[in-house]
Amino acid sequence: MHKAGRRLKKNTNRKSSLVAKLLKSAACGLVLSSMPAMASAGGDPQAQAEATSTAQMTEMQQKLDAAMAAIHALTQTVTELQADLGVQQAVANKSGAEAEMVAELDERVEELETTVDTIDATVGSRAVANAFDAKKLDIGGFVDVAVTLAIGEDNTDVSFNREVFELLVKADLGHNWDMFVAQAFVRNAPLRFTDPNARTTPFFANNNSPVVTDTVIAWAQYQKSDMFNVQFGRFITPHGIINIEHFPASLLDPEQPQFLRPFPGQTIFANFSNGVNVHGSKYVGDNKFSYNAYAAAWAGNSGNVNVGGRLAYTFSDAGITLGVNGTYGDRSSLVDSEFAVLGGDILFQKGNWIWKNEVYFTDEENAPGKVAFYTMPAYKLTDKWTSFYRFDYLDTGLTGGKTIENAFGLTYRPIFNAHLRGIYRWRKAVEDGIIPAADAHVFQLSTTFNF
Amino acid sequence: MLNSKIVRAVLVLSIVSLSLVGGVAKAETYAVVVNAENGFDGDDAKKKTQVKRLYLKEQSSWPGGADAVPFGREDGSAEQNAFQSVVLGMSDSDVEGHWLRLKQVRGETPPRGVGSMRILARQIGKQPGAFGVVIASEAAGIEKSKVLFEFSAD
Repeated sequence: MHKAGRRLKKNTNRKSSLVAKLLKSAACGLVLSSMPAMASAGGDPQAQAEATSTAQMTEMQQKLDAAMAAIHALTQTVTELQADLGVQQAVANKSGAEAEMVAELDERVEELETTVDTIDATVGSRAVANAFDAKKLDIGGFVDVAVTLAIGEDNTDVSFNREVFELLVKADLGHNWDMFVAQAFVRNAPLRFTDPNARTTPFFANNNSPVVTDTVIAWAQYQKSDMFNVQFGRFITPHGIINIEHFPASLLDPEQPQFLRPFPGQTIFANFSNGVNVHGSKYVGDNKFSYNAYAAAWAGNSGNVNVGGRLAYTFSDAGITLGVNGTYGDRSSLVDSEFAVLGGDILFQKGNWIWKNEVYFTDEENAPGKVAFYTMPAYKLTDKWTSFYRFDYLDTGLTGGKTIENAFGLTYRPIFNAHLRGIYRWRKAVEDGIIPAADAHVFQLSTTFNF
Repeated sequence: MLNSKIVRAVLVLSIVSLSLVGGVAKAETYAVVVNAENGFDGDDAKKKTQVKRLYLKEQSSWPGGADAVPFGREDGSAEQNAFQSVVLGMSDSDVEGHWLRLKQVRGETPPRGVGSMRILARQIGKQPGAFGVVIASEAAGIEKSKVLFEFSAD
């Protein structure tokens, strides 16, 4: 309770006590004043009695008048005290409300000071960037670096073979409209094999090449609802699990499965597509349904439009997502090379386990029997450490095109923005007719920093 | 000699007992508060699931149609820790991994973390789809809002 309130209560008690004492005194006075008259009414005749009675009545009347005057005065005093009490209560209430208001203002000013301090520390006297006409602009990115040692049967090579900086920009253009761009600056020397069958002599191609820039993603999007969104531009081809996650900062193994290599190619399907993608999702009870449907051109066949899509259903309680993928088109603008891809994927994600699986089959005249499959269980050892294994099989449908990779990896996140990895990959090129089998052992340390 | 040992043992036991009693964390009750116009209803499990989807930006609007405006609390605050462990049911690395994935695939960012309860209260009162977590005893004083559900956490 506030001090003002306590003082008010004390004053009120003191004044109420005073009033009670005055009333008590007045009542006692009335009773005592009638006592002598009653005592002297005893031994004389009737006249004396009447005279005495009259005198007593007069005296009592006078005292009653005096008492009434006292009561009247007391009533006035009480009224005044009550008025005084009301005023003091109003003051106390006002003080409480003001104290609450001051506390609120204090808290808000403190938050504003913190915000201003943060902005000042970030910007200082430098110019503040404006987002032209965007309602909101977010900028992020990552740097990915790798050093790789490859030991083949006829050669050993080592290289800092991958340095990638990628800038991510998201702009909110207004209600329901936004755009997203990922611009990459790449110095990449992918692992190649110089021998005719591409299996015994590893080397890192174009290691001294200049930086290549690549607009990895550039789409604008209209969002009608969660169930209906339309992307226009260049987007991640919406198939499977790993290609959709795609970015090294997220991935346990920054090397894509074999069917997604080479990066700009289309072994099974291209990593990225240029066109239009309609997508959405809807919760059905606890489970989630999602879809993608696109019409787009791929690298190497910009003159053709491929159509495809993915349907997925997530059983939330079980932590399982099932996906079905399909696409149809032409792989080249120059020669006739129609193709169709059918694939499935299963993701299990529960507790410390993440288990990704994808399989694809194609039907194409220039590479019959093309098949790709991987299974990749991963276990979170702690919040920072994760171990994984990946069995990765690819049959390109061409002579000597069967390869198997077994990858073992350990990843560590010392902080949220850093991802360090150590991966051993045993690559086995399968014997095919007169082409002998060959093994290569690849050790890679990589790190991705993102902001 | 024996008495002094007994006295010492009793003292040690008392200190240990007191420290154990003192070390037991008291459960605090928190409330997820929404704008007063929010008509979403259901049991607590349904409400919790809905709030989780909206906070993680797996859905963008309330079933009633209002665009969701999720707010977090300051990183490391008791409110945010409780919300993350009880409502989201996720560890730090799970949450970080989720936002990392969304940032790189869709350019999404986590909801703004608000330090001041009163500023959070004003935001919730102003925007029909807004929601955030506060200590339950603070919820009654927030104007133009209502408690969607309460939960306890250590």
